[in-house]
Amino acid sequence: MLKALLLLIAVATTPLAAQQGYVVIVNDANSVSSVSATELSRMFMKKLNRWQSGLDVVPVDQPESAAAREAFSAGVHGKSVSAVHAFWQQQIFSGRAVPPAEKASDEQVIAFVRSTPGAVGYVSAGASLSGVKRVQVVR
Amino acid sequence: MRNVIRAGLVLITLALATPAAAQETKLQVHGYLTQAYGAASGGTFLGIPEGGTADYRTAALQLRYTMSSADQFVWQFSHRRLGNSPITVGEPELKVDWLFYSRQMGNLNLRVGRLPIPAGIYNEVRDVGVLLPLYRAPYDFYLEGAFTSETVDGIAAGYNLFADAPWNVEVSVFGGRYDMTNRNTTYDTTGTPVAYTPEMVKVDNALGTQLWLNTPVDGVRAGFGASRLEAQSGSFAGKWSEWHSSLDARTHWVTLQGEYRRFAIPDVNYTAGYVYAGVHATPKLTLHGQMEFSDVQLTDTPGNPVFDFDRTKAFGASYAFRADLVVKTEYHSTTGHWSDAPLSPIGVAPANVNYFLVSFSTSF
Repeated sequence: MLKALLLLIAVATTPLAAQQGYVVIVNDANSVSSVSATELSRMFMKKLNRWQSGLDVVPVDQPESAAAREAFSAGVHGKSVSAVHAFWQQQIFSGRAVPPAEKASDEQVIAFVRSTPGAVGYVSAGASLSGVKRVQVVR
Repeated sequence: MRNVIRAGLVLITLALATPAAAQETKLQVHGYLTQAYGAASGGTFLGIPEGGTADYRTAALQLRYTMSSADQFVWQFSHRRLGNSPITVGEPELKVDWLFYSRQMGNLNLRVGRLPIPAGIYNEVRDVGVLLPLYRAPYDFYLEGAFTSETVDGIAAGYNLFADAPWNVEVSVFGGRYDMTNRNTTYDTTGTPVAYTPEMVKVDNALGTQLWLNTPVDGVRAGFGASRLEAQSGSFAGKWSEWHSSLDARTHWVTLQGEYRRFAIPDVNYTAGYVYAGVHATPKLTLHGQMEFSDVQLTDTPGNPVFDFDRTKAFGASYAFRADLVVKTEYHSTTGHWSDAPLSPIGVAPANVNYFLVSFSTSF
């Protein structure tokens, strides 16, 4: 009974993003500790280009086949990966913006975020986060 | 054309050689292709003959050079075939579609060069098959390659008002010049129409705007735009003005769109519109239905008579293997004056031409 209660408390206090299979990360020097899902979506859609500190936002994505990408698209954008792909096709072929850079793995995303002050990315919930800061996604 | 290509090469070379940009240099290549087979009954419509044709496609290659997060050069070549349609006679196999420099400053975007004109839902992407419900953007409204242009040589600015609010407005303005093709009718000495011939027209002092009101409902927006221009030659030389309005609602299950526009051209008022409904039966399969109309009013004729210029119904289905790989099949029934054959300019009975298209679209 006690174990079940502890498990329930543990699940309830786990950040939503981690429950959904991804963790959002920023550079260690970034003072942000939480970000709303709406803001995060706008950052990855390149509609919000500056952190409050004035630093340029540099989003980094994962490949469309990555499980973390699927979870992130559903959890943050509220859309499927293919719907987000269609949004970027519209942007590209109307001469506007191009999608964020893609990195092939959690490790590459972490390395990029670690070396880029304004970077924001996401990795699998179980990834080892060394040299980057995890931020909470607020609904 | 050669001068534009040369200018592009110079710009790209300069950009590549800029030391400050060297550490952030990034060249991206994108492209799209739509290949179709079409056949008609009752005549020929936009190059689709009764015997069928596979000489029907659009393609483009886009080079985008990013110097920094705010500065880009975009260069796009395109190719289009519409069978033997008179509106593509004289069109080069490959043309410079766009060549512009873009700078982002907060919510303000500036573009200079040959750039796409923001007008309605589809003007900027009207050749991109993976983004269109059917093969082409509704013809009565967008007038593919005739009386309109997809691009302008000039400047455009875009700004997002109240960008962080649930209700926000995207404003675009553009100005410049361009060339367009008008479709003209040639008559013999007895006054009988004998052919449609393309008429190259230079347009100066083009100025326009497009506004989009984005609503709190994701995917639902309303638009309004207007433009004016001066046609320097041709059968409709003089000052033109135009306005249009749009409704665009894209939800998980259904897409509903409608647009209406009105041109005031010397001696003619042209009014057109369409409604479109798409049902996303599955994540990959969409069923389409569309109705278009256009009317022409002759303002230089006593009584200013109005003619039903075109009435088109279309339905079809598309299957998206992926977002960038789509197969479509569609059927269009047209009654009006747009057919290539039989010749049916105003004053002649409207023609009834039906056609179908099967197409394959991809992009990268």
